[in-house]
Amino acid sequence: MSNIMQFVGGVIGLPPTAIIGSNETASAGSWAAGFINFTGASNIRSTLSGALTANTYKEILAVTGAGVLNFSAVSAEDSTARSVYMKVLIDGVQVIERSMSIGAQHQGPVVIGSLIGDGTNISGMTFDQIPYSASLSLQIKSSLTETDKLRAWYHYRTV
Amino acid sequence: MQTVIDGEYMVTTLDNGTVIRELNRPAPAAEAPSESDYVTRTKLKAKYAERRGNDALAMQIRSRLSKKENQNGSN
Repeated sequence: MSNIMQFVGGVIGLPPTAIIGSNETASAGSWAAGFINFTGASNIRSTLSGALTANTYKEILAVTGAGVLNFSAVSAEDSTARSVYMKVLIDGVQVIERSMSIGAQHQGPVVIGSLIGDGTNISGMTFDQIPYSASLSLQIKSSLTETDKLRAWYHYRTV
Repeated sequence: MQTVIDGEYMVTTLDNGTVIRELNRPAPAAEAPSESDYVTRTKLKAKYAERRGNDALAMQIRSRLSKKENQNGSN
């Protein structure tokens, strides 16, 4: 879907072509591997992954239209050792992909926005404001074939 | 606004033409970390402190954990 904001940036700003986030080589036990364990009170939407095929991306959310992505992350429901991935496509272009080797329940990378904490406990979170003009796609992947063992977290709005 | 279910996805069409296709497997609210989570995380915390060369902090964290475990044991 095309709209005028796609060409002039509109009130929500120009969509990014790339998002440059953490450059840490995150692994289980590193400080970059946050524990994502929100409650419903956090106002972050979440969904279990359903069936995942090893090393194959699955789309969690696809929006056709304009809006703003505020937060996204992926975490594990158990402590099995695996690599998890999340990528974000804005207007059909991949703007960020983040992966992490994890081995604890609730561990995983934050991809958009950030968490504030001491590495073991979350004490706060921040939202980013990533505009999209025509489409948004959030996708996750695991190094294992598994069902409902990953959870995607996100918050977005449409305009 | 119109919503239809398409397999494991929920597809919502808003009045302005926006189409939202979203995996529809809401999970129950995450539980508070369990006691064993706390122990695992605290041990990791001590290990990282040690890795960063902060032995004093690592010792402090381990001592706090051990005190808590003793308290739980005596309850």
